[in-house]
Amino acid sequence: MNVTIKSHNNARLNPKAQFPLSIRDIMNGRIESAKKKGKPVPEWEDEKDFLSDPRANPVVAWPMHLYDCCPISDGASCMLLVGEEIARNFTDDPLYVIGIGQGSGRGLHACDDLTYFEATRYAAQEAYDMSNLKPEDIQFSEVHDCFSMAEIIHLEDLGFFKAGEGYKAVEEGLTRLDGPKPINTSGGLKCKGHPVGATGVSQLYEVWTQLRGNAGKRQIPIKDLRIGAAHNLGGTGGTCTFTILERR
Amino acid sequence: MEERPFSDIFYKQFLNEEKLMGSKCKKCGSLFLPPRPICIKCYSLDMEWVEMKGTGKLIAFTCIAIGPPFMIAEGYDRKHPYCSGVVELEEGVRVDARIEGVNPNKPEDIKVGMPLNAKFLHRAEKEMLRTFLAFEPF
Repeated sequence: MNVTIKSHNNARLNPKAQFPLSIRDIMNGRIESAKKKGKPVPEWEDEKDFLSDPRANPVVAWPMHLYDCCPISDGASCMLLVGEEIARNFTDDPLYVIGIGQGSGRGLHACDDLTYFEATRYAAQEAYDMSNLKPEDIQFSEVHDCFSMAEIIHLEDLGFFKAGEGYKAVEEGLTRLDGPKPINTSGGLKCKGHPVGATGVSQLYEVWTQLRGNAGKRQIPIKDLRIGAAHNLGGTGGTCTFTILERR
Repeated sequence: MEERPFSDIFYKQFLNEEKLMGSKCKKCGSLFLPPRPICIKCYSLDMEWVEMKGTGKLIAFTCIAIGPPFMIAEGYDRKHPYCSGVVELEEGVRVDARIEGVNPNKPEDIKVGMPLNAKFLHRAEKEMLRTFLAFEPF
């Protein structure tokens, strides 16, 4: 629930998001619409009360409810990737890919443990080794939140938080836009949208936008924002990439 | 000796015959279900078919209310969800399958660890025959 509320709050500030609304906006909209139609007005106390109501947030695949699941979206994204020596022919302010990793894993059914993604761990290690960075050096990240629980698992696999403690970090607001480790400032797959083939580059677009200071209302309020990352996943966790960008 | 290639096609053909067949690495003994032609532990190509007993326990599950079109065609919907899970077989391998004989409207009553038996769900007939792997409590 906390992941969903946080992602929707970020998406509200992203004009390119598929659902640029907070959970409170959606909740108030439902109340207004019931009033207009003369139907019984639902009495939700707050966002969590709204998300706990099966009429507002029905089960898709138990225990996952509607607001835990990302949509399948239409969308496109692109980026220009060139060698370092010619980058300044295109822009005065290039960003540098300083670490990239790719990992493979088994199908979900064959995993020995369902509380981590081995592909994410491989990819992250490869990218950290290449860049000589540690998880705490990554100032913010987009992660593959196809489902709300996937975001929490990836936060742990990427080393941002200890295994089993990702949920606490989210609950304490550490991953909020104004927290010490902002996650999915775009709104993530859940709210920005998940145009499957375009998702990975769209995540890097968000990192690019933040590092250049062009994120407008959702600009991360960290001084000297230099290092951001994007984590993407394919299949049921069988393949994963982790890319670290730097602004010099 | 079973000579069929280690592929999904033949795995499904065995299911049609009500046999749950995996592949075993002759070098290191690793077991794979569905079968793999190459061992992912030691990369050996020397594999053999082995039949599973079909008993195991539930490791993880979900009850799906919004299913894909082919499950909707079977009559499953929000009011009639179905249970899908991962089963660890006695032989040690894990496989995903439909879980029958439980109440998908009460997921809180379905317990991880419950003992299960394999069951073969046949759809259509003759050359159109397709068989899905399911498990149910015994």
